Amino acid sequence: MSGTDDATTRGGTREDVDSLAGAWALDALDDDERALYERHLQSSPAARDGAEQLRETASRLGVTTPAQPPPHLRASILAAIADTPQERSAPAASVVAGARPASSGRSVDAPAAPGAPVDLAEQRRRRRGRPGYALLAAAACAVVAVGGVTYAVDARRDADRLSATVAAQERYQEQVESVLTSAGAQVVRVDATGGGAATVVHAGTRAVVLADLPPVPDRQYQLWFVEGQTVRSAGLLPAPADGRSTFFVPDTGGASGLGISVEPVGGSQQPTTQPIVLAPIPA
Amino acid sequence: MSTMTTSGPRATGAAERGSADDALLAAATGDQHAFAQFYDATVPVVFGTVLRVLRDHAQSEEVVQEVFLEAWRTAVRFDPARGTARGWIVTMAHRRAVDRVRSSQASSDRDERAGIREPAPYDSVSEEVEVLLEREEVQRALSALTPVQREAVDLAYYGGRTHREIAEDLRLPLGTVKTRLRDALIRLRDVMGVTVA
Repeated sequence: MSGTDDATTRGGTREDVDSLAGAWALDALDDDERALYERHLQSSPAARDGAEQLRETASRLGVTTPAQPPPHLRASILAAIADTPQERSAPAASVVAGARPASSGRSVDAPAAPGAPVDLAEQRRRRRGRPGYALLAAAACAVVAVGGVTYAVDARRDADRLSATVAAQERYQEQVESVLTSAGAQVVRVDATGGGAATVVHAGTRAVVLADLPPVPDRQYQLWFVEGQTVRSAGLLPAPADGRSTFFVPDTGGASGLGISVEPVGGSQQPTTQPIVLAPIPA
Repeated sequence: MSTMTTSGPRATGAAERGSADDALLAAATGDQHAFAQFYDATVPVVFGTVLRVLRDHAQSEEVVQEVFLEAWRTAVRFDPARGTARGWIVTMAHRRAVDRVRSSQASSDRDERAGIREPAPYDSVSEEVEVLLEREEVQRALSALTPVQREAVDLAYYGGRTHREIAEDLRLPLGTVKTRLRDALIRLRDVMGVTVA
């Protein structure tokens, strides 16, 4: 293992830059990892400073190969902005995740990760709007492979995020987080037949499924426990938020695998289609 | 902030930095003329970066259009204490370009390594001295990387590959790739003198 294959730098600086900062600065994290890592940055000003320096550095790479777009592009952009309203609120002066109302509009708070105002992960985090991720953040680095951060606000009642009570949301999120932050969490990522992927994070017999699957109009994704030759339903995946569904599995029992299939709305007793995902459950 | 005064990364081309920053700050108050200045100051690097990732003029122009409109809309979020205006928009543009690469059907047909090749040189006749100096500086910094660091940076930044994919491509442990990317950027940062002032 060679974590040390490359040169170190002058004293004191490297410690401020944690291991994912480089990949983050180069946009070399997938969406889920990025969201987790940015949450970590939100909770750690020192890490954030270090990571932002690296991102500023990365943004200069393109200096070596500048290119001029055609003049009509400039005209088109300048014409378009004349009709485009701007966000008006001044951003909050500094970071701090703090109390960010769940309903916060995009305009009122400073981007947690500045420079990424169009970042979907950021928008998801805003919608989610819940403080206190230090623990999760710490775990984010340990359990890097953990995907997902796109907690559906309420996985069981997909259509109705807004009416779900805060308490229910938080309970659910706590369950999800307790899995994602579990020290011994194991991560299984499986590509889905026909596109997309599912990441399953296991903590003991609890699990969180992070499904990144294409929409299936008039159908639903259903999760299955596979136990030898038998299959039983583990529930229906909620409608995705920003393309992803999160599902908390309180107990995987003695199952050896988790499957996902496309089923009629409301689900089926037994799978009626070939599973598009089969993820082994680690022993 | 208690341990460090962060006035943000400082680029060496301070004059240039200042003008793009000021222009964006003014644009945030609705100044369209200032936004045009911001566009002029930053678009060569924005377009150059996007083009190198996407390697397609039409798509790159789309991304540039989207990202400048987004910049106009969200200009109030730019915080000069946390980085340069050019860095802000290049970051947005790069992320969009990478998202396109990753979501596009064509990405599987794409030869990632081809993305590393440098495109034809800039043909503008009106490069200013400070632009040339900055380019030289970045090139010098890049040449300070080890070949494996350079390869990893290119695969990530221009190839749009995730660190996981790079690890697979290069048959390296993920930890090695993470470290390599981080150390490469730290090296670049130090050579370029991007520091916390």
